[in-house]
Amino acid sequence: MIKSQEIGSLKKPAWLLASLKSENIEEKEKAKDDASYINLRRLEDIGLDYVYDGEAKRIEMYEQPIREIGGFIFADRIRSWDNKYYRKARCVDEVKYLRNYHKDEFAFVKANTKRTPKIPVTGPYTFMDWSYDEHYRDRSLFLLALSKVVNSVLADLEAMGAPVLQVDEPAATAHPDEMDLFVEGFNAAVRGINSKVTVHICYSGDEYTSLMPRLQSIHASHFALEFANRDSTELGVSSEIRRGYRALEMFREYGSGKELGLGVIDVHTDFIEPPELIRDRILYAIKVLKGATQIVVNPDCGLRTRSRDIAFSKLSNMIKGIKLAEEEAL
Amino acid sequence: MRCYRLKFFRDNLGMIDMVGSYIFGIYPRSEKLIEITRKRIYAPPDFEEESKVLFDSQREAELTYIQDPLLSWDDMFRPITVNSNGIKPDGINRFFETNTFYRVPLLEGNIDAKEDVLARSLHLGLYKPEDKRMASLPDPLTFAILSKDEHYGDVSLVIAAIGELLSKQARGLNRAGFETLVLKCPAYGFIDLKKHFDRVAEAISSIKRAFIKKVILHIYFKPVKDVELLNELPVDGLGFDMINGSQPLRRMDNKELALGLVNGYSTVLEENIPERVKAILDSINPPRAYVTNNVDLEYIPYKFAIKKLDLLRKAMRRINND
Repeated sequence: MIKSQEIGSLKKPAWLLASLKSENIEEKEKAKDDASYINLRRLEDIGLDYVYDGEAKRIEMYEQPIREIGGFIFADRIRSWDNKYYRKARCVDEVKYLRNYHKDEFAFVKANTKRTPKIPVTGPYTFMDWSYDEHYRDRSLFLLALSKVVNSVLADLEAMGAPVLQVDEPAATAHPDEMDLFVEGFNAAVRGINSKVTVHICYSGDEYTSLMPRLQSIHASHFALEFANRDSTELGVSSEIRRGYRALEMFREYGSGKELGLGVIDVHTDFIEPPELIRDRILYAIKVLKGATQIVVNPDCGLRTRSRDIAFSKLSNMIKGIKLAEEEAL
Repeated sequence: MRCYRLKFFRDNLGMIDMVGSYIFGIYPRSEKLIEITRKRIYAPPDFEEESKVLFDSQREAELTYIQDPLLSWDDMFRPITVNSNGIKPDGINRFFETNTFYRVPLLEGNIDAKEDVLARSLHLGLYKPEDKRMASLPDPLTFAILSKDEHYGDVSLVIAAIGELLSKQARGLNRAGFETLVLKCPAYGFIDLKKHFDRVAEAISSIKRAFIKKVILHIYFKPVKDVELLNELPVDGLGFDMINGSQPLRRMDNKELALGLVNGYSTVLEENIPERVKAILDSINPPRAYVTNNVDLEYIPYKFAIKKLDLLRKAMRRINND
């Protein structure tokens, strides 16, 4: 059986955004609970195996935790692309763990799903790379300080019974020359953690060529990666057609014993991938990996940039595509 | 103190009359503009009012050259990719090692555009007669490397075609009264320049012939390995990112030198620009030097960009002993 998961975010419903403007804290919290609950039900109904609440209770993966880590202040927004922006923080003092900023969120997810709950936790390298450092002025020192914070959060989530801890490191391959530093920071963040540690890395400028040779040295058992963004939308299982999946060859070479989170949905387009396309992407991966790797199927990344209708349609087709692939391959 | 400064710089500057300054590339959008663009995706906002503020900020910073802040550009290729034949913006991809993304130019036919595409994307009406007009464009190699080619089938052909397209734009900019053109070259530190050198030199030469006036190549993000090759390119000046990595510089008798010492990627305010200028000019004696940003200021929030402009004004006063 091929398992499925969502990566993290979903677009917030309009009624939630309206409620978040309320002065009434109780009303806001109730709206977040409702949105979290609805997302979990939708993802379960679609048929995902590992579920999370789509960031219903977070602003997003960077700003929310940074607000609750000591040593940072925000420095207004800068552009990510087009008319999308993010608020970038300045580290102006020693980084300090203050609290487990995902505690209430995970407790709610765990209490409200019968599937396997997972919790995404932004990794230290991404925090470092996405922030201005005015205090340490040394990337290694800054990173290791952040690793300690993330380690405390992960340890607390594990103590709460989190079976799957997904460390989000979209910036991991942003600086290929710094991959050893990334590994050092990552491993420090997951030191002593016994729950299943997965890592999500996306939009790799070098198509993961700097990551793959280090798979064995990274203390994670599962790598959720992005491929569909680079792929064609033609049907077929040839390497020419499935050109977005070139990095799988390297995963076969270096990823022995590691589980692969296979990105089969492009999160930056409204094109709803037909089940047959999903099927072919999965079958191609099985072919390249020669059946030696456990595959979990997922979108390339979080779906927050798509409307909810489109996101759920994409996920529904993903489940249908998995079934088609299972019929052919298993 | 003032006497000391006078001696400090006069001794150092030697043959150079004055050190100039400019800021090239895309400026950050203000919080107000961010809100407008976030909410009006399908009705493009009027960028003129906000651009005017940044034209004025550059004048207040006493910059040698004034550049349109390019607030309407969604990335460095966009005015071209949305207004040319044979090319269109495609999916997003990470822009080198930043946490910023661009839409990949997709080449799906013979590329061509009218020569005023670039000029029309600028606020020409905001220039004053006394302003020295500067524009910036991606260089042909960076443009080619970051594109997805589904038509030409060979990177040399892509470089040549893009060079031709950019030459047309350079001609249009010349006709619109621009006197300096900065070609942005972030790709140079990431690839083997030697491999593409002949094609690149040809394309840049074509741009220079079309623009006629001053062309400066600016390399950033990573030092370029074959720095001596750059001296062979038919341009008037070379600019370098003096913050990221250690760019070896050679004595430059024939080319102007732009020193990217204002860090567009950090909110830390530089305190030692005059001292660094002195240290560099001690060993290199270009016919003219400028202090510039290292990378586009769009990587820092608007208010920090304004602070950096003011910082540059103060640094230049120290350097030139105003």
